[in-house]
Parts: sequence; C-alpha cells; structure tokens
Amino acid sequence: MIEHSANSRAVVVCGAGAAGLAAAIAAARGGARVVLVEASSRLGGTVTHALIHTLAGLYDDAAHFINDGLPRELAERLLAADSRTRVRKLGRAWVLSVCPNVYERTVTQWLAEESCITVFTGAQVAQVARSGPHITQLTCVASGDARLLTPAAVIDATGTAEVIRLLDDALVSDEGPRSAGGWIVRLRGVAPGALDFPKGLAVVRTLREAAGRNELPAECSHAWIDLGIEPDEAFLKLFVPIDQSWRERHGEISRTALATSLAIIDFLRQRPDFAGAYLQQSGSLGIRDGGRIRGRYVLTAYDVRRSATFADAVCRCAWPIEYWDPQRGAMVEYLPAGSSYEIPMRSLQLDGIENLWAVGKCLSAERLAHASARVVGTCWAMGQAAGAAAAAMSAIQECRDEPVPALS
Amino acid sequence: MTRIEATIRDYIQQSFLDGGGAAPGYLRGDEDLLTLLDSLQILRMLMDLEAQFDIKVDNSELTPENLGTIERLAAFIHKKQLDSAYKSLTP
Repeated sequence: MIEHSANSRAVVVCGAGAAGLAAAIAAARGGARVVLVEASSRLGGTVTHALIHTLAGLYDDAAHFINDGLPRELAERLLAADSRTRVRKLGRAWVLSVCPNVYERTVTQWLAEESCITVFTGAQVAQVARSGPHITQLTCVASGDARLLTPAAVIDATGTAEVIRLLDDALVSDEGPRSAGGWIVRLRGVAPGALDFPKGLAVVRTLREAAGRNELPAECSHAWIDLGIEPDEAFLKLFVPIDQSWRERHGEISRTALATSLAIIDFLRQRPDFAGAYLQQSGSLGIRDGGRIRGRYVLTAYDVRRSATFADAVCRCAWPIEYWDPQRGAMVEYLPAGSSYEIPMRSLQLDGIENLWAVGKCLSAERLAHASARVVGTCWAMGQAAGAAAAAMSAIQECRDEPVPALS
Repeated sequence: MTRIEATIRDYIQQSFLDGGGAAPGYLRGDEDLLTLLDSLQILRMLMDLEAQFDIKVDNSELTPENLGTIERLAAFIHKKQLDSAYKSLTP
C-alpha cells in the first residue's frame, strides 16, 4: 500500500542520532514542518544504541562550550536530567559523562516538547527521486507500508549516508582504510575504585597481555575498560576493525563481539575487583566511519591541524584527531593548545543538489579530519546548521506556493 | 639530565606532543605526566619503554611515584635495569 503523506513541503530528516535530532529541532524552530525518519524504534542514534557514555565535541580544551545553541542546550538538559551527569577530563580534552539511558530519555522528551515534528520510527527511506537540482520525492517504508513524501528539503543524518547512496553510490567515499568500529558493554558489580589510576591501567594491560598469550581472542589486544556512571559500573570497549563489507556482515561481527565480551568478563572475574562483575547491557555495533560523502568541500587533516576558518563556517571543533587505526589501535593527536577549526557548510552539501544536506558522521572529510569532526557535540552543531538552512529553504518554497494577492 | 630522561622526553615529545605541528614546548623533568598524558598514552608509553629499555614493569609498580614525572620514570627505569643486571649476575 502506498500512502501519499500530508507532510508535503516538509523538511525530512533521516536518522534520529545526534545530527538528525539537532537538524529536526532546528528546522522546527525555524518554522518548518519536520518529518523525522528513524530506522530503529528508539531515538538517540549511536549514543543510545552503542552505549556511548562520554560525549565528545561539546567543549574546548579549557572546558568552555565550543558551540552555543543546541549542543549547549543538550549539555544543559543532560546535566539537569541526572545528577550523575558530569563534565570530565579525558586526556587533554573535556567530555560530558552521561548515562546513555539518560541521554535517550532526555532527547525523547525534548523532541516531544517541540511542535511540528512528526517522528516515524521503524521506517527507512527506500527510494529517492531527483529532478535537476532538487530532491523531489522520498519513498519511506515502514512495516510493509510505503509512504510518499514530497519534501522541501532533505537532511541525511543516517551516519552512513544511506539516503545519498540511494541517489548514487559514487557520491559516497567508502574505500580505503577507516576508523575501526566499537562495541561497548556495560558491567555492574565491579568493586568501586577498581579502575582508579593506576589500577585501571593494570586491568587493561592484563587484558592485552592475555591476548598476547592467546588466553583471550586477539582482538582483545586493543580492548579498553572505562569508568562507569555508577560506582560499581564499568564500560568494556572492544575494538572492531571493519571494511566496507560491514553492512553485509553486521550480524556476524556483532555475534563475535558479544562472544568476545563474555570471554573478557569471565577472564576479569578472576581478579578480586571483578569477582562479582556481570554484564548488564550490551550495545550494538558502533560505526565510527560508515562512509563519507564526496561533498562540495572535503575537510582536510591540514584544515584541522591548522585551525582553518571558512566564510561559510557552520560550527567549530577542537576534538583531537582520534583515529582508531585498524592495526595499531586508538591514535590520538591533540590539536595545538587553545586552537579549534571550523567546518564549512560546503562539507555538508553535494555539488548540484540544492535541497539536500548530509550531516554528522557522513560529512565530506578526509579520513583523519573525519576522525576529529565525527564526535557527538560537533554532530549536534552540524545538524543545527543544516536544519536551520533547510527551514529557510522550506519557507521560501511556501512563499512561492502562496497565491499572489489580487491588487484591489 | 640523564640519558634515560632525554630518551623519555624525546619519546613523549615525538609521540604525543608534536602532533598537529604545535611548536614543541620544552617538557620539564618534573612536569606531571599523569595530567599531561591520557591513560591510553601512558599505557602506550609504558609498553614502548619496556621494549626500548628491555625491562618488565609489574602491574603493582604502576604508581604515581614511579610514573608521575620524567625524572621519576627515569629513576624507576634505571633501578629496573640495575635490578635485572644484578639478577643476571647472581646465580
């Protein structure tokens, strides 16, 4: 059954992760009617699904908000929602430490407060029609039903450029080495203080040494374990190298990662601090780099390292180049102290298409520039900019549609 | 400054601080490494220094007293080297 939606001339945002939520809220606040299309049944994207508990890209290296607007509003809402949310130093950068469930609840509540946003969960865009410089129609499929949308503007916030791939695979750069994915599980029953320095370092070393002795699977040689939100909580992070076949191998990769997590927990239980540890929750596969668009401008590592500024800047970022090298593990290159760079609107746009933006992790960037720009706070900022631009475009189209008043 | 200190300083500078083309700032011997480096960097440094100086650091030795500054780390590595030399001499 194909249903013609009443939501014509809406701003259609695909993906309800960091960038998509921001885009939807910004577009709605800009006066547009918004349709938010989300493949899963829950809001919050990678933070919700992959159990991200340290939100990066909200602060500069002096712990000041790097972008005002929605990223800041998000941090303030999260701090107000749960007393355990806190700003925390990670190396030389600052993050917001938050329980992923609190994040999900907060953004779900937030979206409900905004007017003019219709959310379709369990829905995916299956077809995209383009006429010249405009996306004219989207076919959205949910539980067997198809819905036709005639959008004023489209924002691809799927994180992996799903909408743009439907237009043309060649618009997405998907080859070459890329940041490994992550798999996070939440442990409870850990002795409080078990991960304080230097004990935490010893735990990680033990895992890596065990991998070296083949007592644990080889992929544990890059495993990491981090403080949780609760005193008896810890997050175990696995390192999951992926290539472009990850889409087809998603199930297999996830099963292996879960089995490895369980093996690590068994291994850790031999340590007194982890004797009572158990798996409370497993995230799903977190994709850091699921393909980047070939946009009007490709953000470069040079831009990131040299604090580039742009006339069409949409936001700033000061997060280090955090590249999860498939062979060597996490490589962190901090930007010069006190510096930040800008992301131009052209990195969110494709040549020749006027009413389409790609925001968040699929922005147009080189591999190492992406390794800095892809973080949650920056995704919120990119989403906000694209949402506002899309709302402006939909307002112009509404004006064109208005009948011209007759002269009296 | 001892040779070990110089090696550690060069290592930290090259591995963690020169990235991004920042002007290499002078790293003092008593600078707090646990603030300067993140835990991943400390772990990586430890593994690399173990290989470079042919020592084995026990988990129980991971303390601020041993790792906190370049000076302390150099003294710790020197002691480890002496210990292992001594062990190799005694039957």
